[in-house]
Amino acid sequence: MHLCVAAQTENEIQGIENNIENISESVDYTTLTDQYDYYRKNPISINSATTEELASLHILSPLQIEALFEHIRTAGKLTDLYELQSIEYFDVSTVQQLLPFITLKEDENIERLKRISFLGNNQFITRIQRITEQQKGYAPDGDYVGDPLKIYSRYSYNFKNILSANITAERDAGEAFFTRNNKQGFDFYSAHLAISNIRSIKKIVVGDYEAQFGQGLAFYNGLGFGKSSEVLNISKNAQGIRPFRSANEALFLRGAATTLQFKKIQVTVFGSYQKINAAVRTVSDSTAVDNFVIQSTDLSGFYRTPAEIAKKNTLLQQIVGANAQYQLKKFKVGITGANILFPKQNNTHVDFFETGSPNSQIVAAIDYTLNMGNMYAFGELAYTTQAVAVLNGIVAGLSPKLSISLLHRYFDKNYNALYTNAFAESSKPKNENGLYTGISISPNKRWKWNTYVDVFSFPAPKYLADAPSKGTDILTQVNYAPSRTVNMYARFRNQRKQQNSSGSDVIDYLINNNRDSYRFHIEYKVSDALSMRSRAEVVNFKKEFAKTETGAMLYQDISYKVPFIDVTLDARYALFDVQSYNARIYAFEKDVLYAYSISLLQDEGVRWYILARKTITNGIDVWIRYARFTYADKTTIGNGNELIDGNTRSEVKVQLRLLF
Amino acid sequence: MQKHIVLSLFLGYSPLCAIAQTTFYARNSALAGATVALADVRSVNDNQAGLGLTTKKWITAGYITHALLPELSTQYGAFVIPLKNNVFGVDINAYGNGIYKLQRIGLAYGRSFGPISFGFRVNYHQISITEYGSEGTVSINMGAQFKLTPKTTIGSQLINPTGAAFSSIAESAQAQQIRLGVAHTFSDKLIALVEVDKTAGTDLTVLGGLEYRIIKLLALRGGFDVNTGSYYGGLGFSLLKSATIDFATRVHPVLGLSPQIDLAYEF
Repeated sequence: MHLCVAAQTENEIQGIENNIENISESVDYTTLTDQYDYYRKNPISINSATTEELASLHILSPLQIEALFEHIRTAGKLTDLYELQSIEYFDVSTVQQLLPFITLKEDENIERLKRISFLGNNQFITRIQRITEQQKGYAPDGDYVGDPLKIYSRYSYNFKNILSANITAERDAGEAFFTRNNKQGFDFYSAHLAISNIRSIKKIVVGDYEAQFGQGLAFYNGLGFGKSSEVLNISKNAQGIRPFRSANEALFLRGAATTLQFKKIQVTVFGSYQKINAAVRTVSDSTAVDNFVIQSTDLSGFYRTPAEIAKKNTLLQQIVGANAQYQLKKFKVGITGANILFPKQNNTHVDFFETGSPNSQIVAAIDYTLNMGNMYAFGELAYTTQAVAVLNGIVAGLSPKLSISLLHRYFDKNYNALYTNAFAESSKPKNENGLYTGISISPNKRWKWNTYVDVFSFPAPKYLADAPSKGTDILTQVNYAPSRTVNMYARFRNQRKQQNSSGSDVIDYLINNNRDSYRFHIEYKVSDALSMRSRAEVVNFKKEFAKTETGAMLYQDISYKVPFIDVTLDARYALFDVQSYNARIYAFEKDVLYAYSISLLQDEGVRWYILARKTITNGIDVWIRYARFTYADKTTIGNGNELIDGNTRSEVKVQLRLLF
Repeated sequence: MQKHIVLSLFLGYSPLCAIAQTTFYARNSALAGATVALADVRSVNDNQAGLGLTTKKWITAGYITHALLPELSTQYGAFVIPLKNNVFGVDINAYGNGIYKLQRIGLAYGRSFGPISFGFRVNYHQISITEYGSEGTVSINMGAQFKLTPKTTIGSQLINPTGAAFSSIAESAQAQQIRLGVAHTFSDKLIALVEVDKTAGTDLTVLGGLEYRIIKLLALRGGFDVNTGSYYGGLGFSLLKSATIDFATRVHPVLGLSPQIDLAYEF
């Protein structure tokens, strides 16, 4: 059982990485790692899985899910997990990614049987971490109010899939702890209590939760993915309301929500009341009374300096919303409506809705999905702030070896919904017009060639582009899995966008930026205990009329399960030489359970880490991770309060988990 | 002429280039012109090597409006006659309006030798500009196709390898170009194409096209040109077994739509 743990985590890493590569590093992936961990412990019974469960893994496309059901209908239940490889639209690398999270067992899974007590499952996790070098903010005359220790603790309780409860507490490095503004202890607390699957009550959540509907145009918080090398996975798998378990300090709701199921109709209502964090500016109007103008919400979750602390809980937010879905065989239609209100406090004004009512927003949307076996269509039409956003897509298997995806979107320049997570080039579905096409060719089960082309335009000026602009994003990737233990791919991506010239000219005009990136990646299992991963990546960034900026990175990973002592070791050694931020390279790293790391590589140097996991006794696990950057030509790292006087930046992390 | 020069400068778009790239028939245009490895009657205007397997006579006529500007339109027509194993074709087209005109007539020949086919075309180009007079020149195209497997064909073509040019305006009659591509038939319904082209004076480009015959009477087509970031799309209707009507358009990120229609009859 333990021997396959290393291999399983390899596949999991690839699953996460495939999905997240196109989203920014500021997103919290805890939700995903949490979900993967849940399914690893409670694998999905593949022969009786629901579309919802399979879609929530973010590994299978709608076509693959439908093909699996069709296979079970016609050929009977699977008797071996590797039988998946023979199903239409499935290939070896997809199956490899899927294996850790599925089982043939119909009943409760092994782990659960082993551990589930009559009273349910308890889990307690605590983690501490810190940068070992002195950073400027922590110096005696530094701005940070706390010490550099980051502390995270979480307790969760599950009783089957009926009852769950969770308390999370987090304190970021530099934040006050039982002092100053945090006399109550941690800077961030989150908790929920949830009941599921009792008669018509599909779910009730009290406390912190996320709500996500449709294609993410109108109301969607939590994780959702956009463009990736899995070119057929372009539709959102909105999961309605879900308890919030992560430590992402923004973008969740606080209050209560419920989903009720009446035959073919599912109804969700939710309400939220909380103070959120926002930047406040004081202005004086003609009556000489000071007004506080809220300019933007603050999502960073860092409250380390007096200026940052001033942003905390500055804005009262009140949300009520509802969603109804009607399922008719292969067709599902939903409507969503929500009212987001910032009640007037004293003389505070909210002005981040550019049009419409200044301190409230009503969003309304209709969405659909249509599943017809080898064709899956989806879309959403949303309205708010006197503007519309619309998105429609199709995924179709034109032959067993070739599938395509198409997605068109039009987002008005004034469309400004607050909680969104839609398929878009920009971070928000706003001021964008685009057509995405993807094609996936599998000549046989071992080879897969995926390509997408996305052509988009921004009809109004946007950040770093003072005029209407346009661009393209093209990715092509060939995957080859010669056996069950070897998987490799080669990738090329080209991104062209227009940006301000930012030169010394009087008029700032648009110029074309071209970014090419090349990657080769291979992972293989040497034995049950030992597996390796290697990657080479090169980036060329060319700003029009300027020199090409290049970046290069090489890494070698090793995963080793030490025999007899129950210790798993993971290590990476990476070399990088990156000329500029434009040519930066991101690399996903292994981390302690539930945490995630993505390193941003820039300048020249070495990045390495070592991670050890030890199971002390059944139910008690410990992780230790040490990671370090060493730069070749630097005497200082970072800037502002994060500045380190030296050429290394190291981090140590320790985590303990108790299961009882 | 002035209008054309202004347009050319403004759009970075040579009228001669326009005609070189867009005289594909509507089916081929809709596939982004990634058609160097396709073998059918339309090869008379594409890779003539593809003519070799034709067994029926064929005639077509069509019209393109470039960038929705009637002044920048092309009319074209062709016929193909197989004489045993030798297939001959004539292809004509005319671009421009009264002030500026480009015309071309091409005599094509293709022949198949088992899995390998060869073909060539001899073109006569004429340019006429009001108040500047007119001039003619001769260019050639040649191509080959090889059937790698029953479902996969590779093709290549050289366009104007001799660099024939109009001396009075010092511009090529037809841009010099090398094409290399592959066509794969996934099923009766589905053909996928990929092609790499290098045209003198422009960057290398990759083209991709996909044709899906959703029902017997209707084919859906799409394609993409990496270099210009243009999408292509089109519909093809098969009527009365022997007649076809094809629609296509390019969607260029700057120039917008260039719609096209042609009719063809096989007998």
